[in-house]
Amino acid sequence: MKPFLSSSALRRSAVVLFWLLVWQAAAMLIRNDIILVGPFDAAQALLRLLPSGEFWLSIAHSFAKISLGFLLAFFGGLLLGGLACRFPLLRELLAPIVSLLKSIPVASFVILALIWVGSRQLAVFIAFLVVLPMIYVHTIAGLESADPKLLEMAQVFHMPALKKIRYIYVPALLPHLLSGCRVALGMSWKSGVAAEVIGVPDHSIGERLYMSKIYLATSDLFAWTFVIIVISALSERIFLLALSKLQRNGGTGHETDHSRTA
Amino acid sequence: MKLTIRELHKSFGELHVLNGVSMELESGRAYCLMAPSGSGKTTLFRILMGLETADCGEIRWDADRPGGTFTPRFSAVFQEDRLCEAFTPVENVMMVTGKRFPETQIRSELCRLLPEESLSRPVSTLSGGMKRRTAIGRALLAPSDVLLMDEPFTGLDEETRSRVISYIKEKTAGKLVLLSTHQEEDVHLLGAERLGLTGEAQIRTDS
Repeated sequence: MKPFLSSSALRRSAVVLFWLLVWQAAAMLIRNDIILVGPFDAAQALLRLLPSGEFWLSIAHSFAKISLGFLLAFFGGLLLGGLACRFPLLRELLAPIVSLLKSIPVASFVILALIWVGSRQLAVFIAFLVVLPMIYVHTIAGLESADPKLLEMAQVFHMPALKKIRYIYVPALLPHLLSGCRVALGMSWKSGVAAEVIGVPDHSIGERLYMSKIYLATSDLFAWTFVIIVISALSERIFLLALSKLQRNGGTGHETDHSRTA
Repeated sequence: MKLTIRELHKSFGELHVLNGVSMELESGRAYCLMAPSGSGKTTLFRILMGLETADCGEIRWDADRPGGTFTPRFSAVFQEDRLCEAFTPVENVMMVTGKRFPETQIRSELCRLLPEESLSRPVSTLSGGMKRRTAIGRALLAPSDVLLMDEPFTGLDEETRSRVISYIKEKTAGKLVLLSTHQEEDVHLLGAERLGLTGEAQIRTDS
């Protein structure tokens, strides 16, 4: 297995290297660092940004706001989805709102949000609105995937509601929630930063992108784009890791305790 | 406690599954339902547990004390194992027994049915026979007046089966046990009464 794995890793790095070379070649051909900068210039721009305090401040602000919006939507969507499964009337009532939320363009929300909440809390609001319907839909799908045979078993044995949730609903919910979060986390970053570019709140990644546009600093744009991808991927990893830990704990969390008592 | 079933009918569309089933069962005894597959044993169990409603007929539970009908507590081994796969056998039992037994007691009870090392593994990693025994252990340890077992010995080898049967006998003293099986031998091992099924899809006591 091992040599096969490392050879595939080798091939993947070769592919990345190939495209980096194509990119660099294209940049050298065009020879215009407004239209296209090469990977080398982009990396230099990134290195230039790294020591500045404004760089880290912008990241911290955007990260805090987008994460807050995501987390609020995560728990809100979980709660609403759970309630909607329990009370079908609520689900019917929410259905048009959810499809509205899903179909309204982010840009319209941004303008509306600018009028309602101003630019400072903009990213929180936008990330929330984008993520909420996703988590809601996946929560319902997950809860509905609970095995009806196990639910019958729970009914016959008079299992209390909390145990039903822990042992039957949560294991059914988690895989759906994980795949929902994978998409939603990426979307929260894309839409959050897009909102910041329109609203230009102080000390935000969006503001930095906007500045690159004004000064036609394409290398900065590329550097910031790279930063956004990295942070978004990192927060996705961390959050999904935490969620999947929950999944394993649900399964064998007591295992170690048991073997100790044995 | 006495269970009286009179003229129970159930059909699914055109298919008449139960056709006037009548029987009288008493607690403290075991009954083996011996009937070919598809003859409505599972449906009868489901109606008794309240998971299905009969089209017509009567089911009555009489308490030992005069003048009382009541709803008994059920425990069941379903045709399928119906275990929570991500959890250990001990957890699967604890989720239905609540705080009735401490964990150590559940472990020692389950050790009568399963190898010690299997008790801390998720059910999904167990063999088919181990899962079956976990389901049986769960049904026996859950608080109940009536125990319904739908072909509980599927996938168990000869030796395990007789071990499981003696454990069942020990744990069901005073309860009403109704189980379906295809093996004549199980009836003798359990010291059970044999219930048959006549040609007209009728289940009758045969004693």
